[in-house]
Amino acid sequence: MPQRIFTRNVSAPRMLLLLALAVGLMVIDQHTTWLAPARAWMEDVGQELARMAGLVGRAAGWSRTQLAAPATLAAENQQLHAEILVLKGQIQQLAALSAENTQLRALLSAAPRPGQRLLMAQLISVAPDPMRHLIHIDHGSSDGVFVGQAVIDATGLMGQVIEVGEHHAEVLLISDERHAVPVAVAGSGVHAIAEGTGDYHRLRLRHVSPTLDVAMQDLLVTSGLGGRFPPGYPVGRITAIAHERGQAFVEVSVEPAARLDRSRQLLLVFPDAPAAPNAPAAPAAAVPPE
Amino acid sequence: MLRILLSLGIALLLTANGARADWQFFLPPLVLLVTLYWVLHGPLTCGLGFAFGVGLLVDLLGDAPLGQHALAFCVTAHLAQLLEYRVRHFVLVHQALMAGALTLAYQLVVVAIGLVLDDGSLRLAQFNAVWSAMLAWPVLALALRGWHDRAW
Repeated sequence: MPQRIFTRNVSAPRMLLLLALAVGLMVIDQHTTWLAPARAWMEDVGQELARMAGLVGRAAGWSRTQLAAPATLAAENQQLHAEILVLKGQIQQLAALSAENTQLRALLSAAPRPGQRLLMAQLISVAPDPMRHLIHIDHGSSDGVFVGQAVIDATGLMGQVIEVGEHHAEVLLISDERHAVPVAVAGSGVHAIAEGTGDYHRLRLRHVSPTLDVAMQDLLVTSGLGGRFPPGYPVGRITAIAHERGQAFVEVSVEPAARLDRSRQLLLVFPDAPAAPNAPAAPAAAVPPE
Repeated sequence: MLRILLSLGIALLLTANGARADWQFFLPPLVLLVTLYWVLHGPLTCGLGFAFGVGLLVDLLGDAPLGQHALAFCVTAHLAQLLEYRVRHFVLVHQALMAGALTLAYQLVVVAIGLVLDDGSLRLAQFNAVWSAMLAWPVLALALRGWHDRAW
């Protein structure tokens, strides 16, 4: 047998065996739940490692804060105090509006809106595949996190929890191509579905009729239809409306309100039991991290 | 073995703590490149089984269908093994071209499986990693060569 000089003689049976194993795993993973426990266990291990790696980054951030000049810290502190004051003022107004809303709903004999409780979570890792807009956060079933739970940041809706481990959860961002969220135009109340495009800075509204009352810079909020997302959270603003001749629908582009590509501190939204019709509504309370 | 696991661990952590931005498509597939390096330079310890295991880890980290990246890693490692003798005599520039070609093969397999399983879509941006893999390979190979006992 002639000796190979430029190519190596590799094991074809082993290759075929591994290919068959991979195909078998894919079939089992897609059509059964047999691998779910093993997968969950491996994901827990992987997320623990990612959390440890995140600790290194957080330690670097802590040392940066500790080493920052006192003057910088004092200025930052002053700015934060001013922001807190403004936010407290806005919350007072919200509480009054919320109470008024509850009274009006009681007059209309409408069911009171359930309140919400928030829990702060930290980002621990990002899915390596750029085609999947998935992130992992540091709270799981031990904190009451559940599949389908809405996740927001300081500016708007981020996505929803799709998988929960004991101490971590996986969040599908609203910009992922597989994600869709029912929205309403704030003001006109027009309903639509906002779909992800695979681009962190663009969502699209599908099947919007040209006669509907939508305009540039309109704010879209979660409509609450379907019961998955609580109503009223900002989803984005309309940035482009394109209507091609002969097409039945217009193509509407939306810029997400949340900072999907930057936010590291997120909030998990817990729906509370509906308040009594005549009870004053309490504003959502933010639970500080441990 | 420790060096292999450490380099892979660093690549996995860098990938998992990567950016969330549209330029994410231009990030080099570090885990794949490190795996290919060890398949090419440590054939006795790192073979197809090793590549398969790393692929499974990538599947788990990325919530992909179990076996998708494992199969792609396996195919790419097999191609790398076929070229092993040749690659060892390549200069870094030619090795970089080879890394680009192998990354292209890897991406094609991943995209094809995604389309078959109806778990993904085809975007040209997915193949941007080929260019960054070619740019990253010389740096990565030089860095890992420092760890490597054997002379090239």
